[in-house]
Amino acid sequence: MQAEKEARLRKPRPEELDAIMRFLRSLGVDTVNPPVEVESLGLLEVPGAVYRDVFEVPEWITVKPEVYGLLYATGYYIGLIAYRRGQPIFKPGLPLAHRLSRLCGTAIECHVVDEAGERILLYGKPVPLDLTLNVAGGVSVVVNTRNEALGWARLRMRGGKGYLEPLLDLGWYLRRGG
Amino acid sequence: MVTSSFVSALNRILSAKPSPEALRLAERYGYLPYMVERYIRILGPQGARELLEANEEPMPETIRCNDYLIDCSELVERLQGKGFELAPLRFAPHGYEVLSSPVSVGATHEYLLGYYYVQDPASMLPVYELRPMPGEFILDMAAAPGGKATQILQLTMDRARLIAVDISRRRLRALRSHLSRMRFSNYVILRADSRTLGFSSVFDAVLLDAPSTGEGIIRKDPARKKSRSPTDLKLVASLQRELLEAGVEYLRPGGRLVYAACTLAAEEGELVVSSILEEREDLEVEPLSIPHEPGVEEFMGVEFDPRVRRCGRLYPHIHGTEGFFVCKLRKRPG
Repeated sequence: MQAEKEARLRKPRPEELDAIMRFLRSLGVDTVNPPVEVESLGLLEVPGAVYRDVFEVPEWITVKPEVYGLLYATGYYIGLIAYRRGQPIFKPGLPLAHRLSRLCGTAIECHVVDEAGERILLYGKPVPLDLTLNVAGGVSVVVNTRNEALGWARLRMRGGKGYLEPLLDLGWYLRRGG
Repeated sequence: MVTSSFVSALNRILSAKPSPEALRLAERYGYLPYMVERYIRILGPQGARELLEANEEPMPETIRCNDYLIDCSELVERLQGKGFELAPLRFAPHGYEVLSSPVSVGATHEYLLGYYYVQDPASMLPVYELRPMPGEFILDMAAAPGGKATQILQLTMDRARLIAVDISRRRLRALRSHLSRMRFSNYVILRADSRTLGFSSVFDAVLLDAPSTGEGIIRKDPARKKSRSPTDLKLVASLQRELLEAGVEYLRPGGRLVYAACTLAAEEGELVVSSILEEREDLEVEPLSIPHEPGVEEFMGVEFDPRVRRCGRLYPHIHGTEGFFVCKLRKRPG
């Protein structure tokens, strides 16, 4: 989380937007009609910060642009853009997992965990594949049997055994201390 | 700006000497005497004893169901399936008392999924009084950690345009987490001092759940029986007065402002409201729809604007809630 006096919202640059779209394509999402409103995307830029939070910004925020300097967060949180050797990398947020969970089983492949797998994931621990009901190829949304989004995980293999490595899960709200 | 009449009324109230009965009860229940003197003046000796006794009972744990995401009956069913015992709250439509639970209410998967907010019962009421409507431009002046900000968006199904402001970076983190966890998006969070936002007559509705002495939550935090001195109270009341003045300034003509404080101190309630009513001719006090006891018109020899009687007080021994003050103001149209 970040905010300073000098924070400002700006539109994503082409390479930043491309990083977001690349990520969505890797999930199998239709990027011609993406489930995020590309025109509304805004990056919260804080001088000195190493990443930029990405939001779908409500259109009415333009009502008072001078308040941007005090901005801490706004709108629907999509994820963040970090930079590695100057190249933007998109890391998805939890609200995006909620939104994409609607597409699980139809437009995209998701990791589906059973009740025991759900408990383990929400502690931020790796989930063995015998606690999953469906596994996607790489990074994807994790849902429970009610199709409720629990976070993001990546399929990993170690010693011939597969497991889901949590990248971000709902339990993070608690582990971080609220 | 705090007026001289406000300061002089505050000094007059706080200079009152506690009675022998107040000293005796303060000793017995472990309070600062000036607080008990206040309870006696407002409630009478018997009422004060009942209040002090009720404050010895721990606060019930209560939650507010987020019907933006889940039908409340489904939430109840899910939590009951996990061994929770719940009872609906009398005057908060989305509120439930947690009678017993096998785990902490803040650690269930349903909580993490944003299906409810852990919120004290009286704290749920100001937003019902505000009656936020879809499309309205609303300001929450002391928004963190987010109980009322999330409730404003919940009652409008994420269709109010909410500006949520707080000055504390640590608390803003919680505000953002709660808004995100409960999946709201129609908001802007600003880190700022709400007294200096620079808006002028733009908001349809303003909520000021003011920073307070927290005297109303003694049932949750018994340390507050002694932790706030009269000097602290003076500082807090002055801040509240300044925030209220700013909030009224930000409100459009015809708009409404709900002022709330988690306290039973008239210095933080009726005095603050009375002072702004005396200064501005464009404000009215609207009647409340929630169960409450009326605001006090006189305290320690200081007479308030009689309209403060329409404000409301909630008491642990009468309403079963935390101690709370709430008042609904409307700015007269043009």
